Amino acid sequence: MKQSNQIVRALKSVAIALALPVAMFVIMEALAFFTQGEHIIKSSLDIKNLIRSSGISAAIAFAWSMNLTSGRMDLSLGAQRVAATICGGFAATALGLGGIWILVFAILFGVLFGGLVGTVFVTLRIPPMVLGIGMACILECVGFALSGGAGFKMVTAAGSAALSDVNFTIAVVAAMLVAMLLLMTYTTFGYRFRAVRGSQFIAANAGVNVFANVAVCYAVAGLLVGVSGVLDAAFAGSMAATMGLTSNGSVMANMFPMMIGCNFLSRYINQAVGVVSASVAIRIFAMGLLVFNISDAVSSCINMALFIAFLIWQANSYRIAQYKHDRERIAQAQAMKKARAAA
Amino acid sequence: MKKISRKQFLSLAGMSALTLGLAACGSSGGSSAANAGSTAAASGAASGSGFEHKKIAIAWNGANDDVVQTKAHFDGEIGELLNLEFVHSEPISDAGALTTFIENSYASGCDAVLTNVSNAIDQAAAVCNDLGLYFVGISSSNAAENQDLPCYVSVCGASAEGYGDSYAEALTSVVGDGAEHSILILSGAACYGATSFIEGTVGSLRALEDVYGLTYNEDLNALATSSVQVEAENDKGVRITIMPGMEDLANMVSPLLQTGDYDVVVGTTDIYGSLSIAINEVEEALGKNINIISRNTFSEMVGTAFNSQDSTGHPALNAIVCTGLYEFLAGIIVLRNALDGYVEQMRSEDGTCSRVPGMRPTVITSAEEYNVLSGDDLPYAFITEDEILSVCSLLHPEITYADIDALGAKQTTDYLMTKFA
Amino acid sequence: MQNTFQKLKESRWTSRLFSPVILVLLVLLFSVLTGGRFSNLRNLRMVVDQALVVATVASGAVFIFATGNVNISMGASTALIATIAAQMYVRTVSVPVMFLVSVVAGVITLAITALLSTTLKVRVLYITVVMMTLLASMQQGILGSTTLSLPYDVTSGLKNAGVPYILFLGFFAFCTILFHFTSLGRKLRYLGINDRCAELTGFPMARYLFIAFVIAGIGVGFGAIMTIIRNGSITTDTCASLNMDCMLAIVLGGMSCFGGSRSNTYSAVVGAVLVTVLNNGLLMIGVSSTILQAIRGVIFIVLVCVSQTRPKGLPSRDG
Repeated sequence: MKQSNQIVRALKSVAIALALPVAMFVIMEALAFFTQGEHIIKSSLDIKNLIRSSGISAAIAFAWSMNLTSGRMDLSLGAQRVAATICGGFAATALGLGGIWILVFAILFGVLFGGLVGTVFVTLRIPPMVLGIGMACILECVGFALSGGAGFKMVTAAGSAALSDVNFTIAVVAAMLVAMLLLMTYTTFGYRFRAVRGSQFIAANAGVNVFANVAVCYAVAGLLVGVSGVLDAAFAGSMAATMGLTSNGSVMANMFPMMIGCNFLSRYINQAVGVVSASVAIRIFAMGLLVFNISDAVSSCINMALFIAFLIWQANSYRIAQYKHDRERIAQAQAMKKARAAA
Repeated sequence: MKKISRKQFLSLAGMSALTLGLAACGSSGGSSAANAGSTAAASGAASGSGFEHKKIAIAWNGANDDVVQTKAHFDGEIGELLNLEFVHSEPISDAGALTTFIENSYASGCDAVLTNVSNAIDQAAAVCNDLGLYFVGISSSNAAENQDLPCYVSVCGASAEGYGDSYAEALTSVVGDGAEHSILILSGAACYGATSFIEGTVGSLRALEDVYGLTYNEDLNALATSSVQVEAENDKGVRITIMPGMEDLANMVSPLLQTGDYDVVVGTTDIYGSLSIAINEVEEALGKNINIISRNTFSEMVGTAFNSQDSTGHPALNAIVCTGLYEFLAGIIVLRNALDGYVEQMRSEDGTCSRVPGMRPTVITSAEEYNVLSGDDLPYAFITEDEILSVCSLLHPEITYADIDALGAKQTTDYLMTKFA
Repeated sequence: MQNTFQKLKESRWTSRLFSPVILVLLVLLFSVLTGGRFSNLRNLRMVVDQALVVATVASGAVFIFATGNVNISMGASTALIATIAAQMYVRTVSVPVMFLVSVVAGVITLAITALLSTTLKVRVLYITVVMMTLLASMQQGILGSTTLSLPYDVTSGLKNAGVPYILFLGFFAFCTILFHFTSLGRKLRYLGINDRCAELTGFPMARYLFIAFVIAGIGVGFGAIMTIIRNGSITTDTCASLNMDCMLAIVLGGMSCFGGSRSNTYSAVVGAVLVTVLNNGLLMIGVSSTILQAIRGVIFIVLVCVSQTRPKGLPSRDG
C-alpha cells in the first residue's frame, strides 16, 4: 500500500513536472500551426537546441535560486559567469588541456569567484545588491584584462566539439539536476539553507552556521554559472568579455524560470525539478515566438509582459482563494438563513 | 563595538594603502609612459624623423581580436615610429560615454582624439573642438555636421561603396560559379542603426544584384535595417533572406538553416566564431555544404578555418572580409601631421574636414591567399614603415590628405599578394 | 579616548560628513598627484558636467531608496524618456515641447512602475528588474535602426545657456526642500526605518511609494533632457550604465540602501561627483582604463564598508 502510494506520488510529480512544458508546447504549437502554418519543432536538431538552451537556462536559474530565494540579489552573477568561463578557458588552454578540462577549470574558477563574493559578503555584511555591483566591477575587469578584451574563443580550443555535443549537454544538465536535487533535499546543507531562508536568527540560535552556509550558497551559484558559461560558449563559439556592468543582461533573463520553478512549481514538485521544467517551458515559448518572425524588441516585450503577469498572479493568487472561500462562507450563511427561515 | 572600530580602521587603512598604491601605480605608469615616450623620442630622433612626442586618445566601439591586435600594433611599432603615446578607452557605445572619455583624455594631457564610435563622431568633433583637441572619426559615411570646426580634421574609413565592393568580391567567389544558390544574410545590429552592419548588408545585396543581374522589389536600406526576418524579393526569383539580431544567434539561425533552403551564409560580423558549430551541426544533419562568408581579421581561428574542411569535405570558411587594416592607421597619420602643424593640408580645400576612405576592406577567398598574407607581423606590415613615413608632413611638407588616401587605396588584395608572395 | 571615538563614530554628523570628506580628500590627493592639473577650474567643471545626469536622476531616486525600496530601472527609464523627448523635438522642432514631454513621460513611466507594485502588490525590486528590460526593449522598438540626432546649434545653445545646471539646481533644491523640510520626507524615512510601524501610524506605503516614484519621475524627465543636451544623439546604448551608476552614486554618497533615517538628497550628488572624480583622477595619474573599473569597484566596496555599520546578522531585505 505504502509502495503503491509512493509510486502514485512519483507519477504525479512526473506529470506535474511535464505539465508546464507540455502545456506551453501545445499552446505555442497550436498558435504557430493555425496562424503561420508552421511547427515550432521541425527536426531533431531543434530538439537538441532546445535541450542545450534549456540546460544553460536551468543552470543560471539554479544559480539565481541559491541567493535570490533568500532575499539576496547578487548582481555579480553575470560577471562571475563571464570571468569563470574566460579564466577557466585560458587556464585549460595554457596547460595544453581542452575539452572537458575547460569545463572543470571554469567550475573551479566559478567556485572561486562565487566563494570570494560570498566570503566578502559574510565578512563585511554590506547589502548583497551593493556588494554585487562592486564585485561585478572587479570580476568584469578580470575577464576583460585577461583576454585583452577579446573574450575566450571556444572554437579554437582543443576538444571543444565535445562540449557542444548534445549528449554531453544532457549529461551535464542531468548531473546538475541530480546534484541540486540531492544537495537541496537530502543534505544537511539543504536543510540549513532552508532554515536560513526562513529566519537567519532562528537558524543561528538553532546552531546553524549562517555565515558559512551563505558563503557556500554563493560558491555553488558561482559553480553553476561557470557551467552555464562553458555550455553557452561551446555552442556560440566564444564568451565575450564585457565591461560597464553589462554582464548581467544574459543572466537577468533567466530570473523568470527561477521564479516559476522556485515560487510556483516548488509547491507541487521538488524545486530543482521545477526549475528545469520551467526553463524548458520558457525555451519552448521562445522557440514558438521565433515562428512568428517578430523583432527582438517585441519578443523581449512579450517575455517581460508575461513575467509581469506571472508576478502579479503570484502576488495576488491568494485573493482568488480568499474570494472563493468568502463565497463559500456566504453561500453557507445564506443556506443556513434559508433553512432557519424555512424552519 | 570594538570589532567594528577595528574593522573601520582596517578598512580605512586599506583604502589609504590602495589609494597610495594606485597613486604609485599611476606615477609609475606615468613614468613608464614617459619612459616609453622618451624611448620613442630617442628612436624618432635616431631615425632622423624628429617627431615631437604627442599623446593620442583612441575611443574604441568594441573589443575583439581586431582591436587587441591593432592596439598592440599602435602601442608598439607605430608609437615608436611616430613618437606617439596612446590612451585607449574601454568599449564605448554611446555619445555620453564618448564625451566623458574625451574630457578625461584632455585632462590627462592628450593632444588628439581618434574614434570609431561612428554614430557620434560629429558630436565628438564638437567636444574636441571646444577643448582644442584635433579629431578624426572613423566611419563609412561623410561628416553630416560640424565639418567646418577647425579641429575636425578628417573622417577616415572605407566608404559604403568600398564595403559593397568587398562583399561583392567575397560573394562572387562563392556564388559566381553559375549554379543556383540561396543566400542568408545576417544583418546583425543593422536594425539598431549600426552603420558597419548596414554597409555590410547593403554591400552584399548590391553584390548579388551585380552577380545575378537582378532588381529588388524594395529599397536596399529598408531591407538591411529590417528588425524582422525578411525576404529580399527580386525579379530573378533568387532566394535571399535577411535575418537581423545579435543575441542568441546560434539558436536563431539554426532552425532557419535546418530547412535546407540555404547554402550560403553571409555575416556582417564574425559569424564564423559564433555560428560555425551550429552550421556544422546542420551540415552533418542534412549532409549538405553551407558556404560561410564572415567578417573577420587575421587570427589563429581564421587560419585554422581556412586550412581545414567541414563535415562535407568543403572548406570550413569560404571567404572573409577583413576591415580596419588601414582606417585607424590613416587616422593616426592624419593626426600626426595635424599635430606637426600641417592641419590645413589634412583638411579639405574648402575648409571642411577631409574624407579619407583609403583602403577598402581586404577580401580573402582562399587558404592560399590567407597563408601568404598572414605571415610574421602581417597584416599590420601591409603598410610598411617607409610607406608610413612617406606620407608624414614633417618629412614631406607637400603631403595632403589625398596622398594618405591614395596610399590606402592601392593596397588591394592582388597588390598585397604581389607584395608579399 | 575610546569613548570619544565611539561618540564621534555614532554622531549623526560623522555619517553625514563621511562621504563629502572623502570627496574633498580625493580631490586634494589627485590635485597633488597631478601637480595641480586636476583642480584647475576647467577640469573641475568637466567633472561636474559629467556627474550632472547621474546626480539629477539619483536625487529623485533618493525618495524611493528612503522607503527601503530599490529601483534599478532608472537608467532604462531615462533612456526611454530621452528617446521619446528627442523624437518629439524632431517632430515639432520645439524645445519647450521637448521639455514638457520629457517631464510628463518621466512621471507617467515611473507612476506606472509604482502602480504595478503598489496596487498589484508585486515587490518593487522584481517589478523594476522586469521594467529595466521592458523599457529598454520599448526604446529599441521606438528607435529601430535610427540614431536620433538633435542639431548641434540647439544642444550647444542649451548647454551654453547653462540649462543643465539650472535643471539640476532647481530639481535638487526642490528635492531637498521636500525631503528635508516637509513632512513628506520624514514619512518616507519613517517608512524606511520601519514600514509596518509607519503603516500603523497612518502612513500607507502604497501612497507614499507612489509619491516617491512620481518625484523620481520628474528627475528622470530632467535627466533625459540633460542626456539629450550632453549627448546630442540618442541610440539604443544611451544611458546603458545609468541603472547601476545611480545605485553606485547613492550608496557611495553615504546613504543606506535600506533607506531610513540616514537618507539624504545630497548623497546622490556627492556620490555622483565621487565616481566622476575617481574616473577622471585615476585616468589623469596614468591608470589604464582597463583596470579603472576594478579599482572603482574596490574603492566602492571599501567606502561602503567603512561608512556603514556592520550588522550582527546578514543584511537581506530586498536584495
